[in-house]
Formats: sequence, C-alpha cells, structure tokens
Amino acid sequence: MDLAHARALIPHAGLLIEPYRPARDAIALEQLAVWAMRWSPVVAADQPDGMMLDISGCGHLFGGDKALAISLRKRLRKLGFTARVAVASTPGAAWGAARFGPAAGIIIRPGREREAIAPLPVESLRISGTVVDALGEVGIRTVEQLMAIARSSLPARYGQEILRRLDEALGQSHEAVLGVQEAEAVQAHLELPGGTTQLEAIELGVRHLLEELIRMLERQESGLRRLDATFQRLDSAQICIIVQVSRPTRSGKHLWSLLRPRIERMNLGYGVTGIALCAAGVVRIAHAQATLLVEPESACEHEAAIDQTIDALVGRLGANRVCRLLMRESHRPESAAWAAPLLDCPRAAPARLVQTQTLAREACQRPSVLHTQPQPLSVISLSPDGPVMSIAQAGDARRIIASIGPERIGGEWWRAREPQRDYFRVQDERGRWLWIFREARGLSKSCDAAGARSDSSEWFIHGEWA
Amino acid sequence: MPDTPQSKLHPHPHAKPQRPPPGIAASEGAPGERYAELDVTSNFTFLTGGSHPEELVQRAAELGHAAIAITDTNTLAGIVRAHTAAKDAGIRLIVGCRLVLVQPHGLELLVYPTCRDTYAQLCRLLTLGKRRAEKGNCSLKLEDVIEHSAQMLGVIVPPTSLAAMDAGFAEHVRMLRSVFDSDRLSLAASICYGPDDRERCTAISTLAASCRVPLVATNRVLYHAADRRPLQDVLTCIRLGTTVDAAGYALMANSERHLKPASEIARLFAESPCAIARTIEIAERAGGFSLDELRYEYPHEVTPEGVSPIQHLRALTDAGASTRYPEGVPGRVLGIIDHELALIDELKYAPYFLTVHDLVIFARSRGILCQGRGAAANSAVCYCLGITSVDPSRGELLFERFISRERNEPPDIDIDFEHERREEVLQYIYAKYGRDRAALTAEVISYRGKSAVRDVGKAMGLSLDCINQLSRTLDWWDTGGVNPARMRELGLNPDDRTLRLVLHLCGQLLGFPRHLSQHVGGFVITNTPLCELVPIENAAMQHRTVIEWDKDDIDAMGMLKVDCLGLGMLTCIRKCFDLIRQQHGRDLTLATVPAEDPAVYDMICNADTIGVFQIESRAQMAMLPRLRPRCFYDLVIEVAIVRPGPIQGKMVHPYIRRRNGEEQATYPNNAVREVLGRTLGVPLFQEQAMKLAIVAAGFTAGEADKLRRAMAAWRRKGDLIYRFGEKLIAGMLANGFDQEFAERCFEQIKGFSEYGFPESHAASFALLVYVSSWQKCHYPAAFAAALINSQPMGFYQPAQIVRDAQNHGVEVRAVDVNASEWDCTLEGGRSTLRLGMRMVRGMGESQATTIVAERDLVGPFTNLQELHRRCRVPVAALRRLARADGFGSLGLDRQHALWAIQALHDEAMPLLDAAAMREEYEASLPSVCDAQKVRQDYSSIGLSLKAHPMSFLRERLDSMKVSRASEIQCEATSPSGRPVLVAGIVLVRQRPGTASGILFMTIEDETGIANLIVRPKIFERYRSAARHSTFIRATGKVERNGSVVHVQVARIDSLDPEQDSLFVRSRDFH
Repeated sequence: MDLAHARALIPHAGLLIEPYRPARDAIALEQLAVWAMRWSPVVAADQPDGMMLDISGCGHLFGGDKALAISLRKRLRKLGFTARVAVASTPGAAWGAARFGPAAGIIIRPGREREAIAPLPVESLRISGTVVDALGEVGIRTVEQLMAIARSSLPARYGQEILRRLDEALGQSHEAVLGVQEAEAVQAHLELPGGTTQLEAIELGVRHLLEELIRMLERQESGLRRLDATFQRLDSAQICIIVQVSRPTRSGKHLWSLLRPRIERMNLGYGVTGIALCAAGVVRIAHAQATLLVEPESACEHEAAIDQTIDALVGRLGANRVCRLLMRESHRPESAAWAAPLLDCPRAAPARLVQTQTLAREACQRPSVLHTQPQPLSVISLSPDGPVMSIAQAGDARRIIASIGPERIGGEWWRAREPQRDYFRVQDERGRWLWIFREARGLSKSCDAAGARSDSSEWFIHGEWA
Repeated sequence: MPDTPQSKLHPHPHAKPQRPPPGIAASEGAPGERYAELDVTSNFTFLTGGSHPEELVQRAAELGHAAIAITDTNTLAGIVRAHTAAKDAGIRLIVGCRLVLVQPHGLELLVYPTCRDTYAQLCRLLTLGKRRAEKGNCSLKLEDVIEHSAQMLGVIVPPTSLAAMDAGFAEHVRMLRSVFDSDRLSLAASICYGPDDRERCTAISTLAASCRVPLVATNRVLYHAADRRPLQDVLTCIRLGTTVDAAGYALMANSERHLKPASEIARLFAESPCAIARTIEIAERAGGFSLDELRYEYPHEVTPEGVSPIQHLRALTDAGASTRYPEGVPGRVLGIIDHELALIDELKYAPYFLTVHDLVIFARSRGILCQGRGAAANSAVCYCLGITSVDPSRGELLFERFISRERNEPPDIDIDFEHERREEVLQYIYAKYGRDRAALTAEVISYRGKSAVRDVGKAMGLSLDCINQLSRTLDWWDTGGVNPARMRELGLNPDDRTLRLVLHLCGQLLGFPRHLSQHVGGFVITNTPLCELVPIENAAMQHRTVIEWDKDDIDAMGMLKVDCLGLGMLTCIRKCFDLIRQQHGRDLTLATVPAEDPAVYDMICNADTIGVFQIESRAQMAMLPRLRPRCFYDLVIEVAIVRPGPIQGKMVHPYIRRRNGEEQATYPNNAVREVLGRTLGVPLFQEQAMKLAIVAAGFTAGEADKLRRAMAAWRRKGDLIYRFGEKLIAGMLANGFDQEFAERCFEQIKGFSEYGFPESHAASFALLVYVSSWQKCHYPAAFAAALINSQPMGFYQPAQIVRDAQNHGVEVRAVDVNASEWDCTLEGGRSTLRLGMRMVRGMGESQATTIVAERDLVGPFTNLQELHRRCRVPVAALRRLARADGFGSLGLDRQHALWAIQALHDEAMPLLDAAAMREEYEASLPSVCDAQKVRQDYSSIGLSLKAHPMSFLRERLDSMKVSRASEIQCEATSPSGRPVLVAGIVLVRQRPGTASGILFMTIEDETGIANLIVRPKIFERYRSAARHSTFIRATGKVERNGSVVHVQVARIDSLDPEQDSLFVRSRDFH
C-alpha cells in the first residue's frame, strides 16, 4: 500500500505518517536484544523483526519455560511492543511458530516439531520469497504439503536451501544462536573517606581516574566525545563538570588540560567525598599509526593542534561563544554570511574553517566590514541614479569625492517583502571608502524630479572598506 | 555627471500609440527617445524567459518602441506567435535569434536576417546545429555561423563577468568583425544596475573602439514587466533543479531585465547616444524582413510531367467516381464534383489533394486501412479519391464547410490510419520527400495545473508531501479562486505566505511552454527545402524529425499540413475484414459493407454495442435506446450528441423530446431554420454553432471564424471567448431568441472547444460506427477476435469482449499450446473463437511464433519435454503458458504443468534433466479448488472460461439477499424504485467531467452486468470500497428509463475479503 492509498482509506486527519528508517529500527532492535539479556545470556537480534533467545537452562530461573515466555511478553508490552513468543528445541521451529503459529504463543516440546510446524505455511521455513512463490504455483502452501513430496524432487526445482531449512526446523541439522555483546561502560570512581578540601588531593584523584579511563578506552580502541566529572560534596551537593571535545579523543594530556581549569574554579564547600568520571559518546577511533619517517607538521598533527585550541577556547568562553563564519550565495548582503557555534557545525576538516569563498563574485565589490544594523544617514545626491555628493551622519557632514554605483539589489522575495536597495561605493573627503544604500521606496516618484535633493530617511550606511 | 532628459517630452509609458507606426522611419518623437529592444528572451527559451512573446510584443507597443526583436536561444519557436501579436499590436517585429555557441564555448551572438534569403540561411544554420545534437539542444561552432552569415546582422553579447572579457574574447570580436562587414556587426552594451556597470561599459566601449565595431544598447530583456522577476527566478530554479533558497548567484540580483521606456534607456545611455541610434539603424535594416514574405509552395512530384495539377486531379476524380459508382455516377454527385473542382482550381489547392491522395494510395497498396476524418468528409472529390468513405449521395454535404473562398485558409485533411501501422506511412513520407522537405509539426508542451504546482512547489522548497496535497486543490483552477476551506481540509494553511506565493506563481506559469514535443501526426511537406522555412530538430523518437512550429503557427503561416493519425478501431476493422475473408471468403472494404442494414440498427437500438466504435461507452449506450437510430444520419447525430459540447449546452434533452415528437421545433426565421432544420432546431455540430453566430447573432464570417479560434484556445488564454460570448448573447437576444437559449448556445460553444465534432467529422466516425456494428452483428466471432487482437484500445477488457461474444453464441476456446496462434483465430464454424497466446501475460510474440512455426512444421507436441527440446524457447515462456493453463492438450493442468516445468532448465543439466524425465507428473501435489483456478486464470489471461468468480460467492450472496444482475434487468422482478442489493466484479469506473462528480460503475456477475450510479456524497462515504475494491456489493434503488436500467447506489461494501477467504488456507496466520 502506498501513501496515497493509505490517505484515501483514512481521509484527512487520523493518519499518522512516519518515514521508514530501517537503519534506526535495526539499532533499536539491537538495543532491545541487549535489554533482553536479563532472560538469557545468549540473545540475538534477528533482523529485521525478531529476537532469538537461547534459553537452554534458563527456564527454571523464572519458574519454567512458559513463565519465562509470559514474563518476556509482559515486559515487552510495557515497553510498547506487541510480541509473539514461541519456545521450541530448534531455532527454525521457534522462528516459524512465533511468526505463523497461534497468536497466543506456543511451546513445542522436543520431538513434536514435525506436527507443530506441519500446518504452518511454507514461509515459516525461512526460505526465499521466490521459492515460496514457486511452491505456491503448484499449490504447495503448507509445510505438511511440502513434506508429502519426495525429498529427491525438491532440489532440482527449488535448490538445496529448502531441504537444509526443513532439517534445521526438525532438528535434523544443528544451528547455533550467536548472541549480542553488551558494550562495557567506561567509568571510574573514587571515594575520598571523610572528604577533603585539598585541591591537590582532588586533582591527584582526578588524574588517577583519568588514567584508568584512558586505559579502558585503549582496550576498546575507542575515544570519547564528552567527559562527565561528578564531585560529591560533604553537604550532599553534586557538582558536575562536563567537558566536550570537538573530535573523539583518548589523550589524557588534552583532557586534563580542559578539566584542570574547571576544577580550579570549583567551589569545594566543606570538602569532596567522592569523584566519578564517566565517558559519554564513546566511539571507535583508528589506531594512531606510528610512523617511522616522521613528517614535521603533518596535516594530521596540524588538525589535532587546531582542535585542541578550539577545545581550550570553548572550555574558557563557552560553547556558544566560539563561532565560525558560514557563507552562502546570496545577493542580500545580510544573508550572505552568518556566525554559527563551532561545536554544532559538522565539518570535514579544520581547513574548511576559513572559507576561501568571497561574499561577492568579485571581492572588491563588498566591504570588509559589514554593519549588523544599517545605520541611517542623510545624503545629498543627484537623482535618480546620479553620484552621491555628500553625506551626513549624526551631524558629521562630509563631502564625497568618489561615488561608484548604483548597484541595485532586490530583496529575497520568497522570504519577505523587502524594498530593493541601490548601493553606492563612496569615498569621503577623509579618504574612507563607505558602502551606503538607498531603499528604493518611492524611487519611481523621484525618477522624474531632476536635480539634487536631500533625503535623510531613506539612506543607510551598511559597511566600510577598512 | 549624466544629463537628465526633460521629463515633459516623454510619452506616457502606458499610453497606447494612436495608430500602428507604418514604418520605423516614420515614427515620431524626439530622436533621443526612439529605441528598439534587440535582445529579448521570451519563454520559448524554455525555463529562462519570464514572459510570453505576445506579452513582450504588446508591452513594447505600449511603450511606443520603434520595434522589438525576439531573440530566443538557438530557436525560432516563438517567432510566429510574436509575429501575429505584433501585427495585432501594430509594432514592427524583428525576427532574430540568439546563437549560443559550443565552440568557442558560450560565445553569444544575436543575429537578425535582413531578407528572405538570410532568413533561409538562419533556418539552415539552426537546423544544422539541431540535427547534430540531441533533441532540444543545438551544437553550433563559430565557423558554422561564419559560413551562414552573409547579409545577416550580428550583435555580439559580451560575457557577464568582466574577467571573461579577455584577450580571447577580443580575438573572437576581431574574427567576427572580419567576417561581418563593419556595418553589419555591433557590440551590445547594457546597463542593468550591476555592481560594476561603469567598468563594464568602459571595457566594452574600449573594445568596441579598438575593434572598430559600433556599440548598440540593449537591456537583455527576460520579461516584459519588472513584477515577473519572482517567476523568472523560479524558472531558473526549475531549470537548474534547485530551490530559490539554494540557487544563490544563479538568480538575478534585481528586476531590471524588463522592457523599459525609451526615455529610461536614453537616460541610462546618456553618455553614448549613438548606441541608442544604432538600435534604430539595426531595426530598420532587419525590419526589412517580415515573416509575411515566406511563401509556401506545394510539393511538385504528385503531379506527372506535362499535366497541370488540376487536370491530374480531375482525371483521378473521374476515374475514382466510376469505381465508386459502377452503375453510373448520379447526376447530383457529378454536379457537386464540378462545383468542388472549380473552387479547388480557383484557390489552387489541387496539389494538396494530390498529396493526400498519394498517401492514401500508398496505404492501400500496403493493405493499411485508412479514412479521412474531419471536414474532408464534406467533399465528394475526397470520396472519389478514396480519401473518405462517406458517400456524398447518402447525406447533404457542404463543401464550403471544408474549403471556403472567404476564409482562404489551407484545407485541412486529417487521415486516420491503423494505429499499429501508421509508422509505415510516416516513413514513406520521409522517403518520398526527404527529411529536408518533410517533418512532423511540433507540439508545445505547456504547464498545466499539476505540472505547474509540482515544479513551482519544488523550486520554492515545499516538501513532496505538501506538493501532493496542494495539487489536490487543483479543481479551483478551472472554476477560479482558491477555496480556503478545501485547503484547510487537506491540512494546508491558506494564509501561509509561501503557499500563497506558490499559488500566485503557478497561476502565472500556467500556459508557459516547457518543451517541444512532436505532434501526434501532423506532417508538413514543402516543395523547397523545409529547413529554409523553419528550423528542424531531432525528435525523441528515432527516425523522426520535427519542425519548431506547432499547428497554430503552421496555420498562421498558411502552410500545408496533413494529419496522419492512428486509430485503433481501423486496425480492428481491418483485422476483422481479414478474418472474414479467410474464414468466409467474403471480401469487403469500408465502402462496400452493405449499407443501411436493419438488423444492424436493431442491434444498435438494443444498446448491444460492446466493442463497437464510439457508441460503446456507458453514456452512449444509455442514449441509444432513447434515440433509436434507424439510418446513417441518426448515427451521425448519435456520435455528435454525446459529447461535452451538447451536454454542457443542455441540448441533449430538447433534441430527444423533439425527436420523440413530445415537443415542436420552432424557428424564429427561415435563415435559422436552414441552419438548424436537420437537427430539429437544436445546434449539435460545431459548424452549426458558427452558422448560428452569423445568422442569429449578426457575426460576420470573419468574426465567426475568430470565435472558432478563440474556442480552440480558451483553456489557454481565457477571457477572449467571453467577449465573444457577450456579443453572441446580445446578438441573439436582438434577433428574438430567449436569454436561456442564447446562454445555452454559448455554453455549448465553450464545450466544443474541448471535443467538439463538426458534422463531417461525425459523419466519418459514424461510418466506422456502422461498419463495426455490422461486423459485430453478422460476424461476432471474427469481430471479437479482431478486437482482442487490436488491444489495447476501446473501453472494454478482453474478459468483457469474450463474455459478450459468448452471449452472442460464439464458442470460445482456451489458449492451448497445440491450437493457439499469437493472435486470436477462428476455428471450424463461423462462431468458434480460439484465444491466442497474445492474451498470456508476459508472453513474447517471438516465442509464441517459434512454437507455432515448429508445430506447423513438424506436428503437434505430445509432452512438455518434447516441446522444450524441439522449440528451445526459454523456460520462462513455458511457465507463462503454463500459468495460462495452456497445456490442456498435453493432459496437464496448470498445477502439474508448472510442476513439470520447474524441473526444466534453460542451460543443459544432463543429470537433473534425466532425473526429471523419469519422474512421474503425478507427484502428490495438493488439490486446488475451483475458485483458485479461476483466480489464476484471471491473473494470467485476464478472464476465465471455467466459471465466473462471483459464482463461488453465490451461496453466501443468496443468504445476504443479493440479486443477480439478470434479475435487475428484468422489469417484472425489479420495477423502478425497488430497493435492491447487487454484487459483482468491477469492470469500469468512469467519472466524466460533464457529470459533476458522479461516478459510473459497471459491475458484472455470472448472469450479466449492472450499471451503478454513485453520487459524490456516497462516493466520499464509501471511498475506499468505491475506489479500490475489485469485488463490491452495492445497495441502492433500481432506476428505469425505457430499457435503460441503473442502480442508484446508497451504499458500497467491499467483497474483496469474501473473495480472498475462498482460497485462504483454513488457518489464521496473523
């Protein structure tokens, strides 16, 4: 069913539409499998829509296989999942029975696989869709009907897979469940009995924990993007210091350089009784290749150095205060560039921090300083497009000795209704080059009026060539 | 400091010129204010220009420009429209073209022909570039331009960026300068308020001085008025596949690229007035050529040496007349022929008739059935030449409707060919006249509602979902005005600025040309090379070439056009004639089918017309028993009356009442009686509406003709027809018609614009109606076979055709590998039909013919392995045949045939093969129920000869008190108004535009069909079942009108689950 059809069935409101994101679903299922390890040490996510639990020897812990199945289903329902559960002595039979067996669930006793799966459709054998279709063509729809056919006539028609799957379901060939592995949490903590107000002791403790953390990360060949340091004070208050880095790292030196100034400024109160470090955003990072021929200032080192500088700046100034300039092609000067917090910007390489792109197609056409707010100005110019004769800003009148323009820039009509502007590059008598514009309101009226005229309300200064 | 010109001298920009300026030199005004815009891009530079050529020309005339050029990029596609508009607006049009070269890359040159010969060169040049490139592109190099540049005026357009104006560019200027004499080349300067206007101007004038090329002022116009900038931005985004937000510098910075008043240009170019004077100079010289100078000449080879065309035509007509009337030509017909020939001679149209005759002779020599349609059927000459088959002695023809002295426009003969064989005729034309003299006309594909919303929406950055929702509000475009409630209902905010912008821009974009396509079959043939008249380009289809002008342009230029159209019914009729000849030894043609056979009319009156041409639709079938056609002219009316024109004009019921004698036809005067007498005072045909405009509303012949044109174009450019409408209604009131009738006439004229039938056209079609009815009546098996063999065509699926044939006593036999051919064939007696392998889904013709050839050569097959070995067709083809249950003669049903085939493999697998050979067919396969078998029949061949799918549900339906379709037909059991339930498989869902949202459904059960009427409210309520279900149950009331029976539906339920439950395995899966 496509979306249009669905809309036709459920008109207008009442239809909730979510995009299909298989990758996210797959991750969620993996997480669910980890969660399900409370029932069995071996849990496999059976993509895209199932889980396989090897519950050999687990049942008695929950009061039997049936009780286990019931508790599993109940817990899943609490999470918002509707699950169908089947217990069997072979993964194949369990797979088929869970999907195509009774909705209430089933427990297949060992040795009863054949009769349990006989009424199921052939799809329950985990065979490919083309084989299912081919079987359907000759009227074979259930496992029972399939089992009635001489085995020797099957491979020539449907390949070897079908017999293997049948044997797996019936326990005539072995199949293992490969379970998921839970990731080890990267954290360390330290008790300071009685509490201490000595900064040195606290620092020593943090460095000790940091080293421990780094060792764990090395074992996992991973790095962290965020480090949470929690300090338990005597007065039960908790102080949390969060350090973010711009790229995954496990450099103790770098992390310490970021942590230390924050610890120094920390209010210790009556003393600290416990320290905990926890790594967040742990991702794998490649081994730093130990090079034999060391290139001085290699690109990689250079990048790392820039990253550490950025991290240091962010640490001192705050994440929102370290920005970079982003540019886009736009005729409207205000829209052509803006500042965005650095840590928010996904970026390929620090080299891209400074874009070589210019604000206009030819650099000299745009000023080096652009005022955030255009400032009003009174101007005497020759109408309609004639040169600017003089300008006055806050009583400070200046003669204009050079005037280039007008360059007419219309607004971005799809964003807002904006008057068009006529920009002039002008040089005043003191030699400063300014970028000024006139809003084209009422331009058509002024078109006919000849001669010089002054208009204070429509002119603005927008930038300067410094 | 620039001088500002005195404003008082300016003409008001919106003041229209008092009269068309007779010539450029005579234009008045101060010298500084005369200006001609020479660089104008219209929307025929697709997705670039922001205005129609007509708008540009109109605006230039309003501004009082001396002239305007249209210079679209590498094309002349919009020039005829501009030419026509310029004549109306009274401004001189300069024919021009912007050449954008591939070598040196991107060099832009405007060229203007100065005389007929230079124009021919320009067309040749463009043809050269276009034939070299892919469809829609043009690949020209500097040397090509140089070769074709004699007498042409050129303007070099410097690159936009100052940096690109380098030594290389200067070199190109010098090079062109050496080719064009000094006074034929100019360098364009324009001031569009860019950041570096002054530097650019300085650089250009320095270059101009150093190369000794004069400067010319242009404004590089992209649209006629500044407010089109948003639309132009959107067009740019559509062209580049981006959004306005992301397009960046691809968009223009401001809206200066519009047509400006001469005074404004004079102010901008105050420093170089000679650049403005140069525009006038170029305009004067280029203005020496007008498209009116193009003379069309008919091809010469259709006339033998030493005979004049009219002599030859007379000889052919006389010969034709004696074959048409073997027992002597009736005197009346002789008179008509003489009259027609005299007029043809006077207007010199003889070569045209000879050209068409030549095509018809060719088609006949190949056994391709063809028939002239349209106005040509009014001509006795056409009948004698074999172009049409409507006997002039049968009806009253009016040749003046076809060709008239007053209209003086080329005759237009459309010929229908069998749709499967039309390509042969097209290739014959190319072979006979050559690709430089014959080409298809173009069709300008324009933005319509859906495409406009889609493209504008994308450019404005709307999500696809939002665009889809928005296009569902489209109905308002026809009625005008957005319906905010409807938008809210669809989850859109009608006050949202972006949405309003999108809708506004869509409105502007409607009717904008998007690309050129080929007309379905309009051929232009010339005597002199066509590529000197108009550029020719490659079509998307191989072996086709297309000119840049469409049929309106061709009309305006007075060029000959022959429409070679494809018609499925001709294919069917020819195939049926072939079958009748093979099976019964009776040789028939369109003209020799026995005329006025009462048995045929009896059948038609009973609405027993499934498969018959035209009168097979629901609406037609409902009309037949009321109209009761008894003669050929009744069929002509029948064909014409069930059309949007008469229906919208509410002319149908008055006609029926008068025909049944329930109402008296009255005429205000004798002139009107003459026009409407044949149709009982009700205008049914297009030309009656025109004639009525003349005799009843006081139109002149010319005005009536303009009305006809406005009719054809009213969807495209709206309000013109309403002006005619007011005049028409006022005129008719003045002549004593009542207001209501006058308004209905006008409604009808609007309706004609879509699908209006002229009487002669209806007559041509009526003949096909008669012939196909005759075939169905007397040879139902052959007719059904021919109809199936011509699929896809018509209203009905093979299932209904077969069922209808069975109802007429035809025995239909299943597809079988030992009996079927590719096509359906007749077996044994006259009423046995064998289905062909063409019905098998996915079956290839070549595989089928391989099997048939092997069978004919060696003999029938006895088992599958033998068939596989002998024919070596892919296993997939055998599987398809097996799915169609086509191995019955080998003793294999579908299931066992498939089981056996599953063991076969295309590549030799000796061991497996041997194993499969030994294996018995009777593997213990599960049994398949009958309902399942029927469903498999449907999924493979679209029908089942075993049983009707509804029959399996009958028990359940009986318990639900559902009637059979046959019971509803019977008046005794189902009187009008009786509540009823009926169920069946849905055959047709039809929602004609004229029926205000009513859905007509035809459903079928094992006893017959039932016609349902679903009103919009009911449809909305049971939308899902009404729209998507295959099997439905309808609850409603019987409605009877004579022998026409409908069920007025009050409720619809889907029976799909019931059907599915028949074969779903007995356990629940989910």
